[in-house]
Amino acid sequence: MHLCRRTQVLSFIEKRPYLTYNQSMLIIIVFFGILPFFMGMLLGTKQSVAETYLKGSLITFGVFSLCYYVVLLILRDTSMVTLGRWYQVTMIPLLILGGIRCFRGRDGYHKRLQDVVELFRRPTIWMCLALVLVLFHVVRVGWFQPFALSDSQTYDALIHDMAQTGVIYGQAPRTGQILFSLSEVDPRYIITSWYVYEAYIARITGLHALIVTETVIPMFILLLSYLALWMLSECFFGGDMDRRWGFLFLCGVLSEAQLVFQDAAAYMLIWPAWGKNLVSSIICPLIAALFLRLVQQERGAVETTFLLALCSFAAANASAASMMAIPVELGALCLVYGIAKRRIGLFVVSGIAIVPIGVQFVLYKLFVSHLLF
Amino acid sequence: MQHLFDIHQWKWIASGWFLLYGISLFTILFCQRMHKKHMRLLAVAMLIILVILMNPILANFMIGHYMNNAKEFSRLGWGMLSTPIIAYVFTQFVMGVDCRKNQYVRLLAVVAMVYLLGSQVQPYFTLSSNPYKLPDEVLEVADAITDHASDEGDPYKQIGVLFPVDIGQGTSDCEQVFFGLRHWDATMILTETSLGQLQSGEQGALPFLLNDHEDVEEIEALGYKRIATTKSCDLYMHE
Repeated sequence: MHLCRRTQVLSFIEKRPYLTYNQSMLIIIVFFGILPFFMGMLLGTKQSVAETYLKGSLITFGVFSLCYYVVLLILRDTSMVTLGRWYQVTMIPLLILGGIRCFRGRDGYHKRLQDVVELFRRPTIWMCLALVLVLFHVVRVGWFQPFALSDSQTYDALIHDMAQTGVIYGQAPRTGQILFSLSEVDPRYIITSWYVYEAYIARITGLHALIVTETVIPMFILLLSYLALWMLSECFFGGDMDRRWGFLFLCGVLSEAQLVFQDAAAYMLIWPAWGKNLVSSIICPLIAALFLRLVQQERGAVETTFLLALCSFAAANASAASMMAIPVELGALCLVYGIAKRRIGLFVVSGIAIVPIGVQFVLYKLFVSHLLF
Repeated sequence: MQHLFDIHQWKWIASGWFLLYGISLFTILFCQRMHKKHMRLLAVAMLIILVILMNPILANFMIGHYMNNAKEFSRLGWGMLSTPIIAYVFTQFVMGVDCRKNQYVRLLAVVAMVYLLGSQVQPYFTLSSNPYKLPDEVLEVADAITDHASDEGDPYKQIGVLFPVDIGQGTSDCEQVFFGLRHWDATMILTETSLGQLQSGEQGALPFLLNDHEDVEEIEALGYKRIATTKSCDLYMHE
């Protein structure tokens, strides 16, 4: 693979015709606004609007990660053009299926959308407080820039190099030197597809990668973080909307006050586009919410197992640190609830959900031992 | 103990937050009337993760064998949901009274306490001057390089960097230019070098040089001409 790598990299320094501003905006609206809803419909049409959007976003990323492994490990190709084609070929039938399900369930969905509109027609103080704070955070991350680059030094360079050259991990992030073999790449990046996903989004929108990684994706991810907290609030407070909005507001206040930390709060509010934030702010709360729902409702085990496995798979492809964080979280939850509720099924569910993490760990070991590249 | 202290620093920094999290878990576990059974079980699960995180034997083993530092080990605590747990307890406290006025008073008290605990004020954000969120001087340097680069042959532009670049926060002006050029254009290859290496001819003549307003005469003696000056850097081109 490495013999023609320099030629491959040089041949991709083409002057890609950038799209017009309106075309880029349209693609962003479709990719971030419409696509997740259609993909979320694949999992059913009886869930809430927020849940559909959140799950659809995870499926969109999960499908990309699958295509990434096929292209890199089986086809042994590092071209983003090939990866893009595989992704598009896979997504189109899924989108059509999602569209058909949306059309068939349109009556129920129409009612749920009406409920959302009704909710906004009668705002409460708690709802206004929460929405104003969320809007403030989203606008701040979109219009302002972080004072410190921190790990963005590396991530932004990786993403931009891939977006511009069209070669997956073709250059060293710090210096830009061409890498002649994937074995020269940090193993933590090879086994995660999140940064390749961001580079792909930059390529299809026609925008400079920095605009995508510093403005578009951070706003989108921050919104998903609050949606995950909203799903968690349903498990905590049921149908009490005032408490749910109050919880969302207080999560925002606590995260704002914890900005002194280089941890989950800082990732969520300052650098949302990092893979680490995807795991800590979206997937970890979502796993807890799904697990609590399974325990409380005592049904839907098959669907929940699939969703937990999807969350694990997305986490494994977002950050290598999830190989430790997700098993510990799932392990603690299934141990406590399984023993207290005397449900062995919870152990089975958690065991199946951990499988993607196990596969990721094996891939990591194979890569570090130079058995893959 | 040093590992535990480092983990604590990465996860909490201020001990007030650790105390607040502990108090939240305690109230969920032992204030039975306020909290449902599934929340108490969740608190037990979070306590297990906390014990794993702050376990000195496990921390020593993992950091010694599999990880470089406590920062990596502290990421195990992502599943602890510290913010949602504290927010849940605060929500129950604020909404625990029926009178709206009392709810707002409790909310103000909670917000004030939270900000007292997180009292370190640091400039985390600055207003960006362009849609790329790069310092303007990065774009000036990039434009100067692009204008003077040759269109023939290798599309990559070799740029020597004479100032030190630390792997840190990337906050100094020169570091922002260094990383900004990499983020701006994939064809810019940055090589950290020194005057001694250039004078000895080890690396050959790099087409472009970037320096921080120092050693101007020595650089010009090597056959370089200054083509751009920004707030923190000078850009030179080999003639």
